[in-house]
Amino acid sequence: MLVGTSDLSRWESATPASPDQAKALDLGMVRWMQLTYEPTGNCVHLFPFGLHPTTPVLVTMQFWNVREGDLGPFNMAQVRLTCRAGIRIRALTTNAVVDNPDVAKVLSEGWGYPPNVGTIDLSWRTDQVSARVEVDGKCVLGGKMEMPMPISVDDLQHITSINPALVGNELRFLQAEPQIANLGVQRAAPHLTSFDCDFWNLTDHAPTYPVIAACADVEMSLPPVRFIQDPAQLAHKGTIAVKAA
Amino acid sequence: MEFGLFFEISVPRPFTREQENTAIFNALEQAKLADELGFDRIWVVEHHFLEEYSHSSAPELFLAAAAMQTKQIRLCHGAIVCVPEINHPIRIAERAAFLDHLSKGRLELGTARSSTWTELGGFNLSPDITKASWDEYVRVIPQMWTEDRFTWQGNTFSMPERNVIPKPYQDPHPPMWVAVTTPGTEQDAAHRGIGALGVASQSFAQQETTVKRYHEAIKTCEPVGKIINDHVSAQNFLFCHEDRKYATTTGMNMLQQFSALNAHQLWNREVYPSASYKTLSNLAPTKASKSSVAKMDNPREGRPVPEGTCVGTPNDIIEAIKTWETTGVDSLNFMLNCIENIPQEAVLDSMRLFAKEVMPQFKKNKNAKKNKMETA
Repeated sequence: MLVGTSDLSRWESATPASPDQAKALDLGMVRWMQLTYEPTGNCVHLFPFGLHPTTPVLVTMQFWNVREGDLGPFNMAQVRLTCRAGIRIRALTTNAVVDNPDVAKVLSEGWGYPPNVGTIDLSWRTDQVSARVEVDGKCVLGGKMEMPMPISVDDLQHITSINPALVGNELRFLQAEPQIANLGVQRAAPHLTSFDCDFWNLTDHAPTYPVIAACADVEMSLPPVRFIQDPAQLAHKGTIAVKAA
Repeated sequence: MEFGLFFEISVPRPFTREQENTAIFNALEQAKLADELGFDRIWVVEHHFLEEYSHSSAPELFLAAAAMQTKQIRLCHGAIVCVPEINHPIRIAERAAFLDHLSKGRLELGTARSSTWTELGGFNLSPDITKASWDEYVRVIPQMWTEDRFTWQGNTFSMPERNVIPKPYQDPHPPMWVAVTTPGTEQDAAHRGIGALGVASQSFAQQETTVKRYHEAIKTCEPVGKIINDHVSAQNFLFCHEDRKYATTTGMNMLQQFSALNAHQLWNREVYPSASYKTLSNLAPTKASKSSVAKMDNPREGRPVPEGTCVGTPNDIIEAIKTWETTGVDSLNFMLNCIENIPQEAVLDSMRLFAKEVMPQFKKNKNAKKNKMETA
């Protein structure tokens, strides 16, 4: 069985999290978009031993436009890599940006999302949905989907995130499971206009081969993390419930 | 009840040229022995890029080699991916007919549409069109086999009038099947008058319902070919040994390896939103029967054998197959190994013991079913 080959120093800059302290969040109505690409190169060294890279690994660039809810309005961008923890499909977060520092702190401390703060412009038009992410004045991600066409809400499956963070003093992978109800889903070809591989921790693995893009109006909530995994162990051995942490 | 072998040709990591060669030739040796022992069919899958899980990307070549070293056993494409980017329908008809000649009329044609992004993405094809292209393929291939002048203007391919040659050795043509992984595909099979090649795990109760519905539906089918194939087959695993503990440990190891590899495929429905791939059944058995738990010396040691799985002593397997018979399934297709975990000699011994002790118990009922292929 294929497993990751990276040593854990790859995540040495992971930030502290206290998943046992997090309270469930209602994020209300959210506009959601995801661009999916295949990256160049063998990505097996982007994962630790505890995760199984999918064949091929896909890069998902996901955007949330949150307009109400417990944290108030904010935008978020995440880049993730598809993998499996045990047999479950998961996506390992390589980096994230939030445009509200207070929200970034909450999401980082409770769910392990990387707490970068930047500017995120999301445009939702009937003929085009686009996103542009800047950090320290530099564009790190830009992409769009043109002429999206409606598909059934049942056709879109969401993949749970795995967020690296320090729990206590140990590197742990937090399983962040947004509960998402699709209200309307559209699909189109993805167009990536800008991608800073270094910022997203994907040096030498640029997303190059377009797979699909989807956008959706969803209802979203973020329950507390239930499980965390020791990335040095396979999921069936290294996963524990948060309350037992 | 008929018995077949099902070859995925899985290869253990790290991949070496020698490992791939060994896996292929071990499978060929198993096919040759199966022919000598009286098994009914060998099925060879078509998969692409599915590292470790299946390196069987050119099943027609495997079947050609098998045709040369076997005499009786049916040689089955299990199954050809019916989308233009992977296989043009003319090439499928030609290759299948040629294989039918090489085997002197022993070919059966399974059809499929693939369900992983690994494969569909690898050929740069849209997952949205695979059901439509499969439907078109199963309708035109029998016509290519039987008509001297064939022309087609369709949605997934078109061709001017040509004579697709050679025609198959079997008259009017080889039986056709469709691989059933998604619930409901057995109805697609029945409506078209083709066999249902079960490759997904179902409980006995589910299987019985599936078979019943299939046979109901096929009564009013509109056959795509000149013959109706009303057979239903199911997937299984085989490891037969007089020592139950050894058989169970070895067989369950194979089964767990396969289950894990299968679950690790990148299924299209997980990453590509499309109405074309809404559901997919589990391909590996899951539920252990009470009797299999009771047979374990210590249930804490290892996992019990799932319901109906042909792993155990000859008597255990006879018991399992008798239950399969009650579901109405016509044949069981066995996987014999996974990533070469079981030594080849042990696999061959398992086949021999099955043929000696188990197969005769079910051969007596076989002739009643033998000539089920009806002219449409």
